[in-house]
Formats: sequence, C-alpha cells, structure tokens
Amino acid sequence: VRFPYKKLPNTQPRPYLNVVLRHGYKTSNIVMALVDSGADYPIFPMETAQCYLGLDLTLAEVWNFSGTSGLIQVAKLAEVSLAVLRPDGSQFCEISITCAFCDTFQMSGGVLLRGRMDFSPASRQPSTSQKAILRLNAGPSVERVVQLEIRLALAGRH
Amino acid sequence: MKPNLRSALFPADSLIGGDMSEKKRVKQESTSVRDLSVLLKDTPAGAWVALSPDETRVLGFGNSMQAAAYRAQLEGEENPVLVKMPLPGEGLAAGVR
Repeated sequence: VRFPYKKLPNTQPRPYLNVVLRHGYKTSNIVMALVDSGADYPIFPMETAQCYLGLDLTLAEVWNFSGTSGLIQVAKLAEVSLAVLRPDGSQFCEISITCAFCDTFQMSGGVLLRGRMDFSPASRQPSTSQKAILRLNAGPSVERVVQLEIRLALAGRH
Repeated sequence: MKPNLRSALFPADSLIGGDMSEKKRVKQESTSVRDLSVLLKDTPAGAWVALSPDETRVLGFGNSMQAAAYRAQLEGEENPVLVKMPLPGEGLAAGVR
C-alpha cells in the first residue's frame, strides 16, 4: 500500500497517516499522524487518552522524552490499539502498541507515529504466531510516498 | 566489449553504470503529494482542524481536538479527520527521543 505525502500550509510535504486509537469499546476520532522514524513511541495529546479513550493514567508508567532542544517533557505510557487507515479510508491494519500521552506535546499534525513498529494484528491469536513488522520507509527520491510493508514472521506458523 | 562479458569481468560496473538504470528500473506509480495547503490556508496556525473524511472540506476548527470534532458534528459529520495546523515557519529537525 502506498500513502502519498501530505502538504500542510507553511510546511514541506511530509509522511502522514490517518490513524484511530482504540481502548476497549472507546475510540478516538481519525487523526492525521506524522510518521517519525526517530520516535521511541507514538505520541498523542493527553486529550486523546482522557477524553476519547477514557484512560486513567494516574498510575501509568512515566516516560521522559526530549527533542533537539534537550528540553525534557513528560508523558504517560499506555497499551492501546492503533488502526492505520488506507488512503481510501478503509482499515489497513490494527496493532496493539504502547503509546505515549503528553500534556505539553505540540506538533504540527498533532501526533507522532513511530516509524518502525513490531506489532501483532488485533486478533485473538497469540502474538508469537502472528508477529509482524510494520515498516514505514520514506519513499525513494523519485517519489514522495510512504511505503508500508508487512512481513509476517513465519515462526510458529508451520 | 559485450555487456554480459563486461559485467562478468567488472561486476562493480553494474552498480554505477548505465546498465543498472536499464535493468533495474524503479517502478513508477502515479502517487503524488496530496496538497492540503490551499484547503487549509484560512485556518489558524496551531489550531486543531476537522476535515471531511475525504479531506476535501474544512468542517471546523478549535483549540482542542474535541472542539474541532464538535464543530464537525454541528456540520453533520460524526467521523471527521483531525489535524493540528503547523505554526508559520515551523520545521522539523529530528525525531523525538
């Protein structure tokens, strides 16, 4: 599946994906998320966790992170489901993943997606049998596209 | 020298010469940049914006995701696409660590 880069005002074209977060029966709106190969975790505004997913992060693991300025920001980690949508709006995949939620995170696009994610498709099967890698590569110089490649691990599938 | 003999004798040539561009042509697809800058040109910097699911209409904006989504609901759209507008002159330098 190929995803076109998107150009917002005052920026260069960037790799955005439309995603939806889910926790139990609660879901977020569709959010345009920037793919960042350097991020340790996908980062979402705290509003997503509190207002949409109903997560109580009071006792959640704290994650300190920083960008190029070195200024430390604080986020809380939680396990949620993250669905990636195709350009036509249909669901491409849904993965279970640890996301960070931050009060002070300001980002054009609003959301950062980690560029490379190990994931298990949202199914009832054990993760060892369905383990897969979602790889997001910046497109070759000839095209500004994001390529998603899924490789299902063969281990445990024979 | 014939091309096949040349590549047998000088395998590195196949990596830098014109042979590679002919043999391993990169597949071209019609995917291009989706330009939303015109659609979003009148929305405030830093605001959350609610777009129609096909990303062709601005349904509303606000200073939070919920505020933007509420504006979309008033327009009859329950499943908007939310995006946060970049600030003027804002660039990206590196990943978050």
